[in-house]
Amino acid sequence: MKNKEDQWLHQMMQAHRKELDMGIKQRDDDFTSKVMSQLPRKESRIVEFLETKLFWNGLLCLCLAILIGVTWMNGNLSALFTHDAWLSSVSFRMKQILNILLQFNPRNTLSIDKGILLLTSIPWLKSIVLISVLLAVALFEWKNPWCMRKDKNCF
Amino acid sequence: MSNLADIALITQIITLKSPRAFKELMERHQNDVRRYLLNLTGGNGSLADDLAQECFIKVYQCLESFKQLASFKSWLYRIATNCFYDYLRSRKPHENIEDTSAELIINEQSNVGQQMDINGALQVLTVTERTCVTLFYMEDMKIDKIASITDIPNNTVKSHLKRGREKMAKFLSENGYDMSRFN
Repeated sequence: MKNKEDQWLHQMMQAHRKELDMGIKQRDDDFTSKVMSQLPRKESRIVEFLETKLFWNGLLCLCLAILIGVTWMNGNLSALFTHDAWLSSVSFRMKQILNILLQFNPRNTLSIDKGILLLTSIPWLKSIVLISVLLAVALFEWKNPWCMRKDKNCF
Repeated sequence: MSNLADIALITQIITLKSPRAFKELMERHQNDVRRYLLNLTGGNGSLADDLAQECFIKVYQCLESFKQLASFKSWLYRIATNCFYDYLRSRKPHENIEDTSAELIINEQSNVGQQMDINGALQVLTVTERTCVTLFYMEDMKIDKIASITDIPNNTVKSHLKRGREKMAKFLSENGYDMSRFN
């Protein structure tokens, strides 16, 4: 008797559960958004800062400052431009931009290697190109922050 | 599997404070919590939703205290139950939940009469009986889980279930439901 009552009640309640679930779905009242709008802002400040334009531009400027500062302190600014290995020490982003710049060469007479050779053989050209590349990177970062947030304008 | 996915999301929320992970966690469980509170409040949709919102905000604030000793779902139900008990304590003595239950959540294609009768049967029970009956018969929880959610001993849960079952069966029988026709 008890067992039958138990099963009967269970079946009734399960039927009621289905009805309630359908009723809740039909409401379509955007419950999640309401709760999300009431949540206290608890996002980690570190994560928040890592996602800002300020961080990425700051990091870039810091790298450039260190690069130029260290070379200047060594008293040999030209060493930065004459050493063949400089390209490997600058960031991958710079390499990419240099690659893009070289692709504008219409007759394809310059490759990366030839470009480096050309750059290393004419000091003032190296300086101009390097400064242009640095400026282009800075501008690129400034206009298009390397942001990870989906709700902000990225590339 | 479900519990593992919950734990992965909880880890993201705790370590990265990720609102996106919390949103996903909420979407996974909001239906259960809303339905549970809907039963406790006697079908009062707006009250149940207010309490469910309060419950999820508390979850977000206290997630770091979740020790993963129990499943997340049990912990969530415990918070929902406490929200409902807090509400009962805070309201004025003469206020009745049913008085405010103007907005019942009723599925358009449903058997409205039966839904109202079950709500009525649940209202006959005491709050603790209703909590135990809802968790056992509707949410399919085991006795020990119900005991941990309601913070009462296993045997007391069994007693509440027994009394609740008898009261509901009596109410439903009086309202024309015939258990003997059940196969």
